[in-house]
Amino acid sequence: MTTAGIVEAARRAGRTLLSEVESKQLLEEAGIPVVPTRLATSRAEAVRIAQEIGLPAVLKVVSPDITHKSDVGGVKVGLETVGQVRSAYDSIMSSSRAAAPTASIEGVSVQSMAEPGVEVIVGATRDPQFGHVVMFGLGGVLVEMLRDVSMRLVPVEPRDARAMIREIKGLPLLQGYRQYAPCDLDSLEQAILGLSRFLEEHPEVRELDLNPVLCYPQGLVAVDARVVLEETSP
Amino acid sequence: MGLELDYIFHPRSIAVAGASESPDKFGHTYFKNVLEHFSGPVYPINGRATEILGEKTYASVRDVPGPVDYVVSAVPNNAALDLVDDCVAKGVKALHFFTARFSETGSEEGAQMERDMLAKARAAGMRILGPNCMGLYYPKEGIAWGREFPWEYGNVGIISQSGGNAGEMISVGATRGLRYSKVISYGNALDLNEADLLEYLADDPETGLIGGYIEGVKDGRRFAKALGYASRRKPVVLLKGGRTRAGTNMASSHTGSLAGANEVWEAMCRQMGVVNAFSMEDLLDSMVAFARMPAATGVNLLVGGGTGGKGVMSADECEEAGLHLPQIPDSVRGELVDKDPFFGAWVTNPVDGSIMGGSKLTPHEVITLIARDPSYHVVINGVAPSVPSNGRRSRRPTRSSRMLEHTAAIASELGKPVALVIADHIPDNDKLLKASAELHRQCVKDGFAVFPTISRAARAIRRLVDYYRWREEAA
Repeated sequence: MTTAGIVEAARRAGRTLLSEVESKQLLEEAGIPVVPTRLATSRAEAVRIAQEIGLPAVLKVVSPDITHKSDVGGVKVGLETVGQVRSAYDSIMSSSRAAAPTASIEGVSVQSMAEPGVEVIVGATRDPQFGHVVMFGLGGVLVEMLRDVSMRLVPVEPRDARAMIREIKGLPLLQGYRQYAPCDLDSLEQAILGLSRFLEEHPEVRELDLNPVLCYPQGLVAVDARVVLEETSP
Repeated sequence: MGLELDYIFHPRSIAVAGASESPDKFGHTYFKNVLEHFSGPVYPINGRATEILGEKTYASVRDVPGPVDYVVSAVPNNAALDLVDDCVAKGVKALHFFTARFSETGSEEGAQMERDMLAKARAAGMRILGPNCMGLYYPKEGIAWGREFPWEYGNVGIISQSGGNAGEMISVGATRGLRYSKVISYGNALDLNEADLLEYLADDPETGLIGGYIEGVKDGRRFAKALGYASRRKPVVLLKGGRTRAGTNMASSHTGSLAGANEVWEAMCRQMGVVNAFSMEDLLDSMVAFARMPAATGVNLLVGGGTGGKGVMSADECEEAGLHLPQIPDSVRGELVDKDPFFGAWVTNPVDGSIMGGSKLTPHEVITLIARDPSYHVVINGVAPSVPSNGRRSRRPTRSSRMLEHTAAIASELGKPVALVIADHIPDNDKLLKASAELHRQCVKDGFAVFPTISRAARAIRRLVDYYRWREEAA
């Protein structure tokens, strides 16, 4: 589905929060590498997708009503075999239904397991005065505690993207520290610039998190994505 | 836009609506100021008095015989709409409302009055400044709202939402040698807003540096763009009021919850090359640095005038402000040793003036010699007043006056930024107090950037370095 189609579908369903699968599709279109992720609505489909994208796989519950997927037992990682994918599907469906009986569950997202890398966040929000703002920072679950982030208004220029990356205190971690190899900062700049261009074309986006994005010596990949739309199209 | 605003800055004539006979009223002070200093015709508008300060009054703007370009309103707010009608009928180009109690009170009535005023003005092509503001200080044209503001003019332009803060910038800045091209207090920004005024000052050849006090912004995207445009041409220093007010952003993402109003303002300033001052003191320090020092090309600093422990502390403060204090290069040390073998061997940066007693070199000779070396980009020199003992007047020049000559020589000869530090503590000694004030006045008069502490000087210099780096990269 195209970006317009995804937004349209969400509007029709009265949703402002896009699912992980939808969010990733949007960002892939913006040129940001994402972990291949597809929606499975049955156990058999989950197995088929896992075989297609390659094991090991990760399965996550897909529901507009469940924000914290792991809290409801909705995430299974490191699935090495078809048998593990099969039982993970069943386990996610039953534990999510048990923990959130009123939630509407669309299925399970099947994605490949990304190689470990340095975790960063790339995100965006709309400031009431200045419009879209792009944010970069050291990511993972600790981002809100560390607050080691940098921001710029859209449109972000190449020099801004470079400065954003170099502004954070955790920069040495990206430049190679202990067991971490130096990250590919060019691809990070490109992701920030790609996101800025995407936002210029999509005023309907209110908030967006790519968290975590895993940075490698060559390239990067967004493992999770979350897009929130404005209540009404601006 | 430039052309329209020129009517505000270059009016052919000024009328003061609500001109008053009572000396402590704005309608009196303002009228007196323009009457004494403005070169064109000035008309007092007042329905009761027949004359004010010897000038014949008119009951309405409409009654003025000649054309009126600019009207200043000190009338009560219930007379504001009628005044707009009068001004429109007269063909007035711009109307400044000192008059207050409109939308800023939060009342719907006040907001409605503003909307009506704006609609009438827009329909006639008349511009409104304010309401609820002090308006214009343009010393070159003889326009000012404060009686104590200097008439001497300079190249600092100011936009300020608050008239009180604008007045403080002018008065306090004046004691530190700042002189102004145009200062605009714009209050509620009903018509002319911060972006209009910023765009005007960015292109204004009389303005070389822009300062500002901003609370809210009407059109953030346009304002940000105008800042980027202005900063590529001249330094812009802003102080944001209301920074601690919590945002009402209901975030449902990490980014949303981390990007509060302050964080976004700060990011916007970095992006647009704007100096984001955190206090009035910081704003003034930064403006003094930009107005009175040349572009700094690097962060390597030579500090002089400190003594012992104070010098050590000042080194820490400068490093914390983001400047470096490189040690004295061997070649320079060699020169010092040649001149005085005993002393030259152990002089350091910061240069400790107190240990030079008996040396063949005076402290300022030492500073001048070291400052010439290309490894130093900036100099901070501490100056203290010298008080003649027993009240005897010496015919020889004082230590501090010789020091000033040397420091001035460093500044002009080397083209390097030189900041002076004169401690601003008030001594319990009248002679010292007087000498200190006199020294401060002299340094300011000689064109120096003067700061009360080394750390404030260092911070201002760092802002200078950052700005010129940003501008070079932005070019």
